[in-house]
Amino acid sequence: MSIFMIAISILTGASFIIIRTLNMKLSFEIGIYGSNLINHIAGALASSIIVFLAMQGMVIEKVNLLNAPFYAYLGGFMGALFIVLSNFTFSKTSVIASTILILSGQFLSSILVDILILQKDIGLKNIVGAIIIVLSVILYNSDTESEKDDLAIKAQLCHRYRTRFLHNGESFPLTARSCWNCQSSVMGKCFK
Amino acid sequence: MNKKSLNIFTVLILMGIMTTLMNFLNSVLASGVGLYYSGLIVHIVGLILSFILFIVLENKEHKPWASTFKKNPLLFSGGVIGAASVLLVSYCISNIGMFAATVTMIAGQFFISFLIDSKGWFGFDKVKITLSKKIAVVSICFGIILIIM
Repeated sequence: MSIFMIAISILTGASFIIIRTLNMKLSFEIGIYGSNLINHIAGALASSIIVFLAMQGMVIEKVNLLNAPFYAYLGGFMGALFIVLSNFTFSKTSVIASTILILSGQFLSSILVDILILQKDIGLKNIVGAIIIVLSVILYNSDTESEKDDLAIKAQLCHRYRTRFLHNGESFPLTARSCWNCQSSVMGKCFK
Repeated sequence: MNKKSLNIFTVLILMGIMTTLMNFLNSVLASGVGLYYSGLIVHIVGLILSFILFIVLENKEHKPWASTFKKNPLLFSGGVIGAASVLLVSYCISNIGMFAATVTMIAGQFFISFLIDSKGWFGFDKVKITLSKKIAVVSICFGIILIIM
């Protein structure tokens, strides 16, 4: 497996966090669904430019949309559904539980995709590696002592998954749980 | 474990599966209509749904877009990076497979989160980096090396 591809993949993962952080900060100003809409408008414009640049100097290809199966078009829906679901679930579980369950779902399903669809071999060392990573994430989050730390980790999870982080600005610092649960609240006051 | 928390745990695992499925479907699309066009299509499909969500669910008063843009235009650039990311995800999956791509992307997310937390970037509170956090980062590196070797 080439080091170059691994490096690209790691950088791509890192870019998700930058994107989600920018979107989260934007959502404090214009709202979470407004920020999501802006994100897709900017993305569609940038993608159009990329298509234009990539096709320049070449005969413009006629894209046959039927070349891909119908379900391949549903990827865009998943991202939006994820945001709605994360608003619902993150307030009801601990950070560790939600992080580990999502990671486990991702690992298990990607192993299945590789074995069943892409027909790649998944060796024992890959499984062991995945378990080590999940355990490390538990370790990373395990030394949470105070509620301040819990709040910081929730904030971290919040920007990781581009979800809303609710807090009643009047009575900061609240416990993380009440911070997540108060509905008549101001968004983004948990951050400086 | 009661039934309610079991339901939430199931939803969380499904969210993980959805993430994989989303990346996989995008890569299937890329192999069908070409990498560059797939990025555009993904964003247009997402744009339609985002627009519906915005109309249906956004009901609170917020600051106007124009003044926010004038104050800090950088906040509006997330989608531009996203346009490149969508292409890179499909490119990585077709080259190194779903599992290796998933693991390395998660590692990338973890590393940058660690950096943001320890340096306090983007205005986040600095999180104290304890010994167990350092050990966790090292063992994550070990896990990745094990997988990609």
